[in-house]
Amino acid sequence: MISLPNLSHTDTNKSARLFLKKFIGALLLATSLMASGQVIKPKVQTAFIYQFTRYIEWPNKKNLNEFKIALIGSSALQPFLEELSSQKSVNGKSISISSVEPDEDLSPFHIVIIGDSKFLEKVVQRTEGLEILTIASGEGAAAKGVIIGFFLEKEKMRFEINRSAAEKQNLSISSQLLKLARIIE
Amino acid sequence: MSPALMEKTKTLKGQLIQMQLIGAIIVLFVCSCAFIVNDYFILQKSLKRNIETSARILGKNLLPTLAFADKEEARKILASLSAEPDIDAAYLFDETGKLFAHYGSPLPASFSLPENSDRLSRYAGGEIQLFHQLTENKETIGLLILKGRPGALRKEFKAYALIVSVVVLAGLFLSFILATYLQYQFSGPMAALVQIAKRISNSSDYSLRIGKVSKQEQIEEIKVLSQEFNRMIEKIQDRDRQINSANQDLEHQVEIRTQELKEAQKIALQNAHAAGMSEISTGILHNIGNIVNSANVSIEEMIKITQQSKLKGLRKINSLLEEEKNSLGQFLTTDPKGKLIPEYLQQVTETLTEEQRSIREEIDNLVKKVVLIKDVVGTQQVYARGDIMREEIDLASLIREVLEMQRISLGRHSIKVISDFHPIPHVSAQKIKLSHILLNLFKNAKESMDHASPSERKLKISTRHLPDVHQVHLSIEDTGEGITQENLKKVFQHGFTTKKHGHGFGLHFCANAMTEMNGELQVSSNGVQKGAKFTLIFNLNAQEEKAAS
Repeated sequence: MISLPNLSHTDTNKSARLFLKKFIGALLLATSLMASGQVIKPKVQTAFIYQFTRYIEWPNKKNLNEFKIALIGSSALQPFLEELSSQKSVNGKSISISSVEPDEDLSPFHIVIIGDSKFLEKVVQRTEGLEILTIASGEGAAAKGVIIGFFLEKEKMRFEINRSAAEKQNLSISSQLLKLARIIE
Repeated sequence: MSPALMEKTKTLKGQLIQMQLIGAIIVLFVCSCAFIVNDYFILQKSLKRNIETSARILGKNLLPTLAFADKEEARKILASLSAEPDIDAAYLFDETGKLFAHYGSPLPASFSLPENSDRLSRYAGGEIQLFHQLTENKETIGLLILKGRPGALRKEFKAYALIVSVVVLAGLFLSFILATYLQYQFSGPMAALVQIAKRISNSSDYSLRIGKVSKQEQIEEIKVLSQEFNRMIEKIQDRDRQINSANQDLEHQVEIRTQELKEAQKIALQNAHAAGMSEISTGILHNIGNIVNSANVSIEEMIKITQQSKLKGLRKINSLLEEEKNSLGQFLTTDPKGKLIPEYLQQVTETLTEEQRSIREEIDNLVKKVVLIKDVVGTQQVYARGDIMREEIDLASLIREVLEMQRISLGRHSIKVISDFHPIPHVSAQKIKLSHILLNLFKNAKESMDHASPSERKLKISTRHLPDVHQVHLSIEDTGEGITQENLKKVFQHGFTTKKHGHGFGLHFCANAMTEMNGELQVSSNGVQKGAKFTLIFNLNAQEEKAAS
């Protein structure tokens, strides 16, 4: 291992850098742990979710004061997401985490994380055309209309993207992200 | 290099071609080097730019792989560098500084990041290393290192070397053709000029000219040079004609002058002969004069004897006896005068006998001198015949003879003669001539002592045999007035004399005579009033030396 020199002259936030280091470290640790059979899915998922915000663009009309993430039916991701919201931002906007019910108004949210598969169809139905990124776990979720679905492949966490769903939600996904994902048309 | 080749390169043609080829090589080499160096830097810059571009594109694509820890995808992306011939290897580090993925050769154990953080690229081990930060939202999340492959540059250089070689060879070939053409244009006429100059030099044929060659005359300077050369040769030809004419005149003049000189020489010879005869005559007269002087002394002596003769007394006795003839017996016995007559007659008889002896001696001397004069005249005849009679002479005897001739004169001058004769061999010489020499030297010595007091007038004559140098020395030394150092050098010169009535011939004759007899006459003097010493040196021949031993 070598220590990276500061080759750029950018003025970086020390705490943010610290978090990122911890985050990537955790990410790498998580993937390696997963490879060894241990599952710490929520933390890795949280890290992935944050990275998604970098490669997905929401339309301007979604230009709210804060970046809102809704969590439906899943309590395991909650603490990690809250930690993320306290330390990170998306495009300069603070992150807010809300636990909501499927029947609630989902239109203010940028991301809706479906923690329980039983709400899949309902949430998909309710978010249709609302410029909301839907994320769920389990292989086949994307096929059911969720935009991004996590799954395990060779004990490594990967994700699939439903491109048509994303287009329907009017979200623009970076080709770089698409390159890493399994694409569901 | 062989001498023939060296000679060849010294020609104008060779020099021109050589210089042009060297010039072409230098220009081509310098230009090629300049282009290569320029291209090297351009290539290096281009390589760096290519790597930088690749790094930017790769970095953008690699960011998600770091973000989502997708090493497999990162390796795939890095593997795309295989399409880039300039890039040899790539290394991707994550935020923690751990190697995330790499392409090409594994990271060397000795690899270290540059200390200077401002430097984004470096050259190490003949390769270029580029450091590209992977940032997202102004946060560094990784580092991509790309290594450029110098093999690409080397390949380019090989191509350049080939191109340079071809260009240099082609340039040399073209230069050679150009040089050959130029030498035909420039050195060709020069070579023709040299040829003509050589032919003129060897044959002195000034009618030769440089012919007109239309191509050569296209060059103005060469045309002028040829014309001027021809003009110069014309001038030389004119001058040669003039010189020949002048030479002929000169030869004629020389012939005339030679004839004149021959005439002049003839006259000069006649004059010289006359002068020689005159000198000989002077010598003879001089020597005869000496002898006549000596003869005069003898005659004076005889006159003196006769003047002082007792014959008068005898006549008186005769008259007295005539008067007393009738009583002669009584007169002789009784008369006091008559008694003295017998004794007186006895005395007169003795005196007359003595006078007769003296006169006889002087007559002998006179006879000898007359013989000497005859010999002198005979010598003249010998000279005239060119014959030189030499004989073996006993020097001591000859000295005594000459001294005898000078006896009265020396005695009259109260000069004491000191003889110091050592045993010496006979010498080969002309007796008469040697007698004259001695006579001259004795006479000079005698005259030089005129002003000295009679008691100091000494003439020392000595002889020595020097067998080591095969010589006999005869020295005549006087106590006379001496000779100055300056005059010592001139005493043998003809006409030089310190005497009031001298002719300057005597010593000149003596020196010449000694030289003629293979001898030498030397003089020395300690200065004025310190006398002089003349030495006659006789060189003995082997026979004389043998006889001496």
